[in-house]
Amino acid sequence: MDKNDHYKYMQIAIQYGDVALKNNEVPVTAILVNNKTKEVIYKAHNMTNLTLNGTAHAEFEIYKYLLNKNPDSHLSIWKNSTLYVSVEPCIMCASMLDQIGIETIVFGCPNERFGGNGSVFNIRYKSKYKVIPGVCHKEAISLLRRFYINQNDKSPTSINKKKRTLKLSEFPKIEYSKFITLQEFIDIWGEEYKDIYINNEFLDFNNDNVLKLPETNSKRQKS
Amino acid sequence: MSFQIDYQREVLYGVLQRISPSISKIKPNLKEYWICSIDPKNSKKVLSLIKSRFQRTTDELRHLKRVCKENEDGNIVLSILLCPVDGDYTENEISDLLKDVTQQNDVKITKKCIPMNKPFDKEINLEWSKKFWPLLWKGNPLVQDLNEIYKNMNIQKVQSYMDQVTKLSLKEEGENPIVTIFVDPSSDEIKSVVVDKRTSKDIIKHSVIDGIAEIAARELQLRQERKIQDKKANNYLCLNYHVYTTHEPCTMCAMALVHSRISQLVYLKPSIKTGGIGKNSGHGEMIHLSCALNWKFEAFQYIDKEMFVSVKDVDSELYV
Repeated sequence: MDKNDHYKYMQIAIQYGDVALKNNEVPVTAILVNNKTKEVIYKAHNMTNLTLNGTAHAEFEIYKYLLNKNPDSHLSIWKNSTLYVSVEPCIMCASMLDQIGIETIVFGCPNERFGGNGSVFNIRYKSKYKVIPGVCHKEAISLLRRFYINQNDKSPTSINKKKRTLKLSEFPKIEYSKFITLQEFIDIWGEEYKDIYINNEFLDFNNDNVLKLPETNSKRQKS
Repeated sequence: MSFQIDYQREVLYGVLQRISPSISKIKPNLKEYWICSIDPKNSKKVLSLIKSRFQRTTDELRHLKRVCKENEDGNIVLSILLCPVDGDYTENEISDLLKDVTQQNDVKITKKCIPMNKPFDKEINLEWSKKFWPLLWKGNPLVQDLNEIYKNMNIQKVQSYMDQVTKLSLKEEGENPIVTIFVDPSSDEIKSVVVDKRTSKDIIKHSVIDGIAEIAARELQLRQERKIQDKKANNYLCLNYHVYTTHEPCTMCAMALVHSRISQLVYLKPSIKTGGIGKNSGHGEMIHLSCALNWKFEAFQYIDKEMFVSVKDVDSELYV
């Protein structure tokens, strides 16, 4: 995939969150995209409530679909694809992706409690896949918040919903160094973006899906 | 009862080797908490607020002092642990609650990182108390943990289930005679017996993953047949289950067990290169303890020489 593709495809993954919300599932969404043809092979969301299976994460749903559809070639499809997933894969999914061997994982926000691409462990033992963190970081968090706000509203112990909306415009920073090295970041986005990594700025994209220069850089240019 | 517990090696009944981190490697498991500082005269009111609103924090704070006396410029001030920062209440909500009970507008609340685990050593206990928040010392928690585990352990059952997985494994003629049994200990009912059936095409069809899927599919069918729409129905189907297996699960499967909320795992053969549980397995992750703020389970290696020799080894590179 080209670096200017990542924002576009992550948007598609995030939009699929509406389906997860409709199904009353925690909106963690993923899409698998063919690196060459750029075809979206499959979209999935977390299915743990519908299936009663605590392992039915979006990544596993894609695996099941592909295995079923292309039992003979699905593993080579993974090797030539990029996974866009709204939240950092958990340890289980990161290990699964490591075992089957994917090419690249792009994720939105970190998974602080269970993350397997750096938050808790960094599981790249076997296939050394590429990791691109923080694409649509804020959108991924907002999607999760939409779910949890709904849940709280349903709960009888819910208190004072108005105050909750205050928090919605605030987002925790993402610490890129937990997930990838500075060199890896530069290899993905280019030397001119390295201050984003150093200062842990958010990844912002312009209308052509091109990553905007770091704030420090653009300020310098203006002055 | 103590001769059935080897406190030094953490072995029960001579056969169950508990998998836990080395004592010297225990690090504080920190969680951010809201703390308020109040005038001692308000302490009763705030404590009753805790009882009514933050009751469910009692368990996780058992090893800590809830209230801590401090001297601020000659005035005695009480610092009190309220609730987790990422919990149900926002700063404003807590502030309002405190205002309500104390009738004061200036109750100071701050965030502080406190350890959610206990150190196994009195000196470290003191060190953490100074560094983070006062901890209670009620004797070595490792000894208490082991006594507690011992009390709840039915060794005959463990032996019988380990016999079963071993026997089933011996019958298997395939390349990977890996067998896993899921048991609901509350009814002593076997919920799933799975033999590894992976293929070169379906390489993540591991016994643990299959067992969890089987239990879920069966329950789903039951619920659909009965058309139960019980919103309170428990969706953690393997909650507190015991899992017995011939070969130490890989990282993926170990984490699948965390997600499924089992309470105990016993395995016979360690997977030195790919295992996700053992202290010296794989990358030393000890997955069963790695997300302890959400869920953890007890894990044991079953150390029985005869059984160990009888069960076939699998390829050391294989992810069990």
